Amino acid sequence: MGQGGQKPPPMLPPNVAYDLSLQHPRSVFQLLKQQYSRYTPEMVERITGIPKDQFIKAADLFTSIRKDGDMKKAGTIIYAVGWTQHTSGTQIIRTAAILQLLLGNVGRAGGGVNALRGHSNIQGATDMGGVFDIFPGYLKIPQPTDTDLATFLKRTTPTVSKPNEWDSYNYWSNTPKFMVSFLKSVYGDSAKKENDFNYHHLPKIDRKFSWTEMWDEMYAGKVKGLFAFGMNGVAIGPNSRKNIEALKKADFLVVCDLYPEETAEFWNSPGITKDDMKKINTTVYRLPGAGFAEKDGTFVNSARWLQWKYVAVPPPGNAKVDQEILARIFLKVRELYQKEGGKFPDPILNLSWAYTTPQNPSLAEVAKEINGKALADLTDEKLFPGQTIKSGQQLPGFAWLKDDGTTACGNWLYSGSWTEAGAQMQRRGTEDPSGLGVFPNWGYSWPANRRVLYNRASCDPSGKPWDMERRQVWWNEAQQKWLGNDVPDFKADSKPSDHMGPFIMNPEGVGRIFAPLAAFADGPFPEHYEPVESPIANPLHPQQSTNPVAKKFKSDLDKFGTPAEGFNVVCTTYRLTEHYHYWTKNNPMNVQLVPEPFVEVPAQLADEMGIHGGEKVKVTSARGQYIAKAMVTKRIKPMMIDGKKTYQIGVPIHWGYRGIAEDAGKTSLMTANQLSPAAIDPNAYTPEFKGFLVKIEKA
Amino acid sequence: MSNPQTFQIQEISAHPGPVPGQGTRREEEVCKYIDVTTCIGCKACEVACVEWNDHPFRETTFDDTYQTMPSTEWNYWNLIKFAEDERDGNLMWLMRKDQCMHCEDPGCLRACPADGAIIKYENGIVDFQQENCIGCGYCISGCPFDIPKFNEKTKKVYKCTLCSDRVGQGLEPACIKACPTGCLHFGTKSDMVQIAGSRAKQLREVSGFANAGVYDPSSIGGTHVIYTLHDINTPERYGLPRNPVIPPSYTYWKWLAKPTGLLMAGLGLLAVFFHRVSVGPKLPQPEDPPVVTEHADPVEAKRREQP
Repeated sequence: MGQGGQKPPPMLPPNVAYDLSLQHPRSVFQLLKQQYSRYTPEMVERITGIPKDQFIKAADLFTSIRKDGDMKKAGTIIYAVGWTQHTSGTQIIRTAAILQLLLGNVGRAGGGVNALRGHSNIQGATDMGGVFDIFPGYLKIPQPTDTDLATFLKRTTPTVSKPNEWDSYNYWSNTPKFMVSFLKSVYGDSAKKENDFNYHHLPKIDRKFSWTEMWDEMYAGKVKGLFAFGMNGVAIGPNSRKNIEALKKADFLVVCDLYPEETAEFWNSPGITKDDMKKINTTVYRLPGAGFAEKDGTFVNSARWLQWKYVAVPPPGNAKVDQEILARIFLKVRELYQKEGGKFPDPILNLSWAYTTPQNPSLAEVAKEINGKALADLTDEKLFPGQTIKSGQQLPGFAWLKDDGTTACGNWLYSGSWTEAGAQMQRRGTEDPSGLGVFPNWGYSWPANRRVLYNRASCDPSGKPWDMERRQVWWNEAQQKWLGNDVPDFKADSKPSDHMGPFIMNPEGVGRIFAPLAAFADGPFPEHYEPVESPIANPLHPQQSTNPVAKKFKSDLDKFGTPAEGFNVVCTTYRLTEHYHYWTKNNPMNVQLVPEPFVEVPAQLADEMGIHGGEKVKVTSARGQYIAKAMVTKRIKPMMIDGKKTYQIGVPIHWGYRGIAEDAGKTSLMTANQLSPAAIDPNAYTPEFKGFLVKIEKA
Repeated sequence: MSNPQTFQIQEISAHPGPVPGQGTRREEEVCKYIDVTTCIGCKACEVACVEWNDHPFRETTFDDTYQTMPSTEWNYWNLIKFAEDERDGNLMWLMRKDQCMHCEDPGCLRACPADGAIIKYENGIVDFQQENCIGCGYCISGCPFDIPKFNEKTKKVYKCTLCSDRVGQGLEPACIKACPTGCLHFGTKSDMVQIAGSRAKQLREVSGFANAGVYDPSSIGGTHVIYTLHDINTPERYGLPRNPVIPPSYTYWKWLAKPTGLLMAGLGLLAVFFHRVSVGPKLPQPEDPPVVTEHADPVEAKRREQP
């Protein structure tokens, strides 16, 4: 994860000690045992409210797959992204990863840690660098101290770290090939060896620009404008009221969306009077976007499959597809730079824009560009003896990428998805020769059409599958190479006797139970911290109850409540299966299914408050208020948290001040995220939507 | 409502003559199988049903539940019924997809007095033919599952067709196609019974539901929509009758009630004839007060009340 602006961390030592008996007091296993010796079932009960015997039952059930040394079974962990919406969210996911590594559930068919992501293409967005601190293919973004390409590559290319007698693939050692090919893809012919392939055109980030930080800087008057494409930032929150106040201070706002929505109409949000409106000087531009069924392109699912989709209907009226809107803005900006110059026109003027229709590039062309092509005739006698890729041809995969400027590739992980053989992402083959559910000819699974990552770990150290009946990959002694029902995720000719680790993306070749080099802001092992607003002090260490490195913003609108002030009910927000974020409130079909907002209230709490289902309740946090009808339910029970009876309520997020029910005056016209706090996880920057404090009363 | 020519007709409501295809049995007896244990209550099937059948939207209101509306309606044939079921301190959130069960011995068809308004095909689908429906509503009281619903405007009764129009073209019903979890299945009755049975066995032997079983009630000769339930001994927890039966008046309709009724009607006509002959014509009377029509459809009525 990015540590923008900080001194680059040192590399791992080339030679490391190990102890296969796991007895050395400084071995990771002993450190792990020590760290978690405090997490007794009694402590779990105090912190979570899960009765001790139920916790033990669940733990026994999950770990029973390895009972009596059975290595055949595999267990999976599937989570919805609620796990990430805590100020220690990354550590929660790491805990799951550690558990799976200990159980040998990584690299196995039916194993792993699987995120059910919240949007159809969030995986694709992340792969393509839709985060402030990464470029496509998870390449790091330069910092101001990376004064030239060599310095940048030295900092970001890991060196091997392993026991002397072991081998390590250290696949990220190829970073220079990926980065130079990326620069060639972005800047085309103008990127040359002499000019560091236009490395100097890239932005260097000196601080974090995550979601909440953007809004905070806008509220502080530092960010002057916002482009919001299909991103209803006011409703998404957190702390919607602050986001509305921030937009009031911006010079301009560009919203590209399908419907009138809360962000584009922030100036008309509840509580703003006609006089207030006159004082808002933000210029709002609304661009008519196209919906998912009105454009082609790919969705990448959380199993990393690129799947092409086709246009179902053309965009209505004046609506345009995203790439046309973006292209026309870019071409206009480029024209202005050409005519009028500017402080630093080179990155704009040198950008490669070689599309057949520059003002509306086809996504097929873009997909081919991302796959990458040869810029000179390529041969590789070691890896691909006798083969030649002709200049201009699509690359068959990332193994062909070069760091000398003879290849261009928009995202090395997607290389192989659109080759000379055609669009692999458009394949719809339903054959499954191994019967394992591999489906190798359906779409394209990055990297290299591999369906299960780290599948070397599905074999024992000698290269024999743990489960012969469901074998994924194996070492073939006669051919001296790895073969498989899936594409082996390993150096094809690495003999098992060479002891190469299966976790080839780590320079040490093993799974990271212990995360070295401050890879995570909050430490090498996960630790439990209470949410920034919690009904209790952390029983593990009451003096440091919350994550010390979680970010809490400090503006006058970033208020946090305590139980002493009467905020003693835990609140969580979530989505419903019947709605999709904030746009299905414009579709009569979805509105019919769940017509109006509600608050889920535990039956016991409702009895104590004397309210019935359908009556209105007012939920108040330190930041805002939300009024909606109560849904009284037995599904949410009071919990005994550190000996205190604690209630939790749930607020679905799908409503606001524009939509069918809203326009008909049938909802409270408030966003649920007026309640949630701008407090974020220090690694993934995800806000804490899943646990904060409120009061609840009859409205 | 499909073109009756697509399928082989086996039974016709109130039909006096021979029924084409009566008594035939082929392997293509179809069945929908619903595994309530893997339903997540997302309501995609509800949307698919409304969209495929081109139904107008119904205005709904929040009613302290995730359930879209209290019961199926003339233009809402597919409804997930939600129940919070608490036993021995354990809470289960039950979700059951409610729709026409397509009974082997359909109470609606038994009850229907209109020739050709209800047809049962040899593949098991029970289909309403609205052009023959006289709007008497007997089918509503004949149904043990409270499924057929009256449309006040058209004066006809409607219900799930098991997508007979799709099935006739070799497609699965719309709800099946939309289901994201695969809890909905469609195929031949024997295949579905087998899949449902093996799922119930798995629930009993692996998942700790000792009483899991298949709901395919024999009291009405079985159904062409079957369920796997966590507990087959208490179907009422899911809103299903333990022993669904057709009201006896409809069961005996064909061989007793109808001839008796016809006889009574004949006698009535004779009585009128003799009355006319012996007493003479009716004389003019003061006018009757106008009849006040009620909105039988509660949702429609509610909508009209709103400003």
